[in-house]
Amino acid sequence: MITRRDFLKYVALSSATLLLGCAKKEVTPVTTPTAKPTYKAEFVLGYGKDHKLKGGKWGIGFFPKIHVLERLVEYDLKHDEYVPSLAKKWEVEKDGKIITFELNKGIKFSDGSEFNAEAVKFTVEWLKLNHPLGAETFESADVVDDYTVSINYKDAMFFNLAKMAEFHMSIMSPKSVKPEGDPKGEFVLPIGSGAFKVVDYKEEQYAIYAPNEFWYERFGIKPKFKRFVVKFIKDDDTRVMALKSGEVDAISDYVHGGSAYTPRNLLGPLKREGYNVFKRIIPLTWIIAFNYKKEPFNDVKMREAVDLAVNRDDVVKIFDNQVLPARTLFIEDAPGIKEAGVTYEYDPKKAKELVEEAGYSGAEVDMIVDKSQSDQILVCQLIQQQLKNIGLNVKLEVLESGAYKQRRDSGEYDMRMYYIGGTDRRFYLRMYWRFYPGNKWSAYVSERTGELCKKILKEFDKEKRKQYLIEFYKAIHDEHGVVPLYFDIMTVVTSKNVDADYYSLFHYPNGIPFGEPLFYNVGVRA
Amino acid sequence: MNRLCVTGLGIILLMVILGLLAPLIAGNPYKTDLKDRLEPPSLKHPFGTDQLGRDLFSRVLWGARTSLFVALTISLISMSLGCIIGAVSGYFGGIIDDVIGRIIDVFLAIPELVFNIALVGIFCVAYGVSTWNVILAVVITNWVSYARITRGIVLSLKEREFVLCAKAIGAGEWYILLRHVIPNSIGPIVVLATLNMGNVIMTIASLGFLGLGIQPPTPEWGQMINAGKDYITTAPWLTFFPGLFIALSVLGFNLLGEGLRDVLERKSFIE
Repeated sequence: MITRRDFLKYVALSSATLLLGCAKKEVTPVTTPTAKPTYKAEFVLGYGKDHKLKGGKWGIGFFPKIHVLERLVEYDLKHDEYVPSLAKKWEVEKDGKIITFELNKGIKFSDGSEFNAEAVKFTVEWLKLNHPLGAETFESADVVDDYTVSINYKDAMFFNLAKMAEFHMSIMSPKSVKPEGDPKGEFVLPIGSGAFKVVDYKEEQYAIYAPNEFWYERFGIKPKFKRFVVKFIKDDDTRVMALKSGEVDAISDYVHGGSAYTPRNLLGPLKREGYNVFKRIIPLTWIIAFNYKKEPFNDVKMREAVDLAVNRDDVVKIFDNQVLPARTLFIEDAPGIKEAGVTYEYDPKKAKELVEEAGYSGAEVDMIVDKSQSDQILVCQLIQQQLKNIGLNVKLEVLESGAYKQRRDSGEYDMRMYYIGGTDRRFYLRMYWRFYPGNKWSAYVSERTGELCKKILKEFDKEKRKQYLIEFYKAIHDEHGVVPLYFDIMTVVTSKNVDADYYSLFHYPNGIPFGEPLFYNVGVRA
Repeated sequence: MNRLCVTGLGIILLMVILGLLAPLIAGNPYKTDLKDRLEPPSLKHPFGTDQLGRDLFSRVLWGARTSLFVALTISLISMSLGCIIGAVSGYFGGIIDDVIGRIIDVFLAIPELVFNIALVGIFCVAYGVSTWNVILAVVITNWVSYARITRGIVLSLKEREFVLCAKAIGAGEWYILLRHVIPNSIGPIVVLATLNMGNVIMTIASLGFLGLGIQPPTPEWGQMINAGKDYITTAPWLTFFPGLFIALSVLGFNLLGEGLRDVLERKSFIE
């Protein structure tokens, strides 16, 4: 039996051990092996979202859309250009109402069948019947010859071409459905021409892929593994622990509104512990969105005050400076950003004056935040303090996802965190979803910005489009429609025994820059 | 003097004093300073700083106010409610006792924390986020133990001579219940309430840890542990100090409860 004295001794000993654990530890530098490595047959990735390989309202998940399928065109954000992928070239008719694509020959789907105009026609018809974005985009598709297809769109606009680089418009083999080639048929599994093919899938648990030899052959490279296992680990911290315990070789982000990604504040510690952290800045900007249709943020002075009160340098410190402070609406690679010369400043003194001028000094405003987004909760707490300095009392409400959506949709809030842009290919799509008049996911729409957004999405001429974009950035800034906070990143964290490089993680083998991580050249050293 | 009682009382008094003096001895628990984020314990910040550079000592001390206030409120409401329901059930018997007895059985059959999680979720959706959601949810599950104990005590008390005497001189049922029966059953209920305070503190902390309790930026121990768990390897002080305070306060109430029980048992034995 333990006496009271023994008990106290154990308590004291445990406390001392825990306190010693608080001390900083020296990290031993990692040395790089020089011998030519041999690789394991399997590469295991931890990922936060189910791949939905059986389909769903928006089709299969983004991951298989990227890795199993390919698109007719890809988007080069830096040059604001659409570049050939499955399509060799294209011709625009009737201001974009019809686009005729000439396809590359000799491309095969992973099952050995040939990629041709019939496959494109099937995909367009399938998307029109089974996908919200397809339904609002496509009218029909006509096969001109085996390698030429004309797509008729519902509206005449440049946005039609932009959409063809979008995940959702990825091309799949007619054999992906049963009966084969029937757009009304039942979706079985995605068969595409991308780097990987589906081997096995268990909903909410894992997906197993194998390299698509036709894809590797096309690009003249060899895979470094035979099986690519993706484990679905939803909880961000658990995913990091899985990497640390060796259960997975790497973890990667799903960045679409911060749904499932490696917590930014853990990237620094992971790097210090010797893990390889690859990150790519993407044109996704986290913002403060206002309920600008009601008081007090229907007053532009109040929106400007919040804009000037936010210290973005402090915001990024929460993430160990792994993300960048947003002094512009989008990252500098985004078209027209540099030329627009519009920057967002920090001036709390002026912000305070504006609040007083508007007559809201000491007012209470609501800020809602989704409980599942731990990063956002931290940022909102910081913003709460920063706005307190200018005389605004922010009532922070951390809500369950359901309650958050209900409050958001019914307009019962004053401010919330939101995001604009996305991965590179989504630049124009999110322009449409966030700033086009009448869109339910909008961040800010005024007469001026709405008209400019319409012009941007209609204009094929790159230079004219850039001018509209410049005007748009200026309009958003003048009206203080949103408050940019920080630019988000896409990350891949790998174990020490994983061979990966930034270039192949974010470029196609032919050099096309890619906004999402690619794993075709990854190898796990044995 | 019972040593358990004194030790428990000492710990609780220390917690209460620290909580009460928080505005004087600790700084602003909301003040952020990103220059000092994740600083280890030092003279400037005895418990270190958190992700937003807030002083953890201040937050833990202010957290004591939150946790103790919420736990005390829950215990007082639950005790009052449970005592009245249990006393009515035990004293009047019959169909009232049957109905209350079955309700108590139903509540006892559901795991308490699971029930709390469900209730807090429902209240959040229905009434928005508030500390009162947590209080209400825990009270709903917590009154049952008081009712059960009170009912048992009242069942034995109502057959005692002083009750029969009161009836004989014509005292009314409610008068006897309120003036004689409940006051005579208060001893064991106080012991239960003291022991239960520890459980309530744990429940509040558990809900906070699960993100269902008191919401940020209000300092609360469970929620602080939840926020600190991401840094368990790099900044363990974020979880250690709130955890230590939870452990100490639960230990304090348990020791006091055990001590009180010893004292009361001895007293009743002597009587």
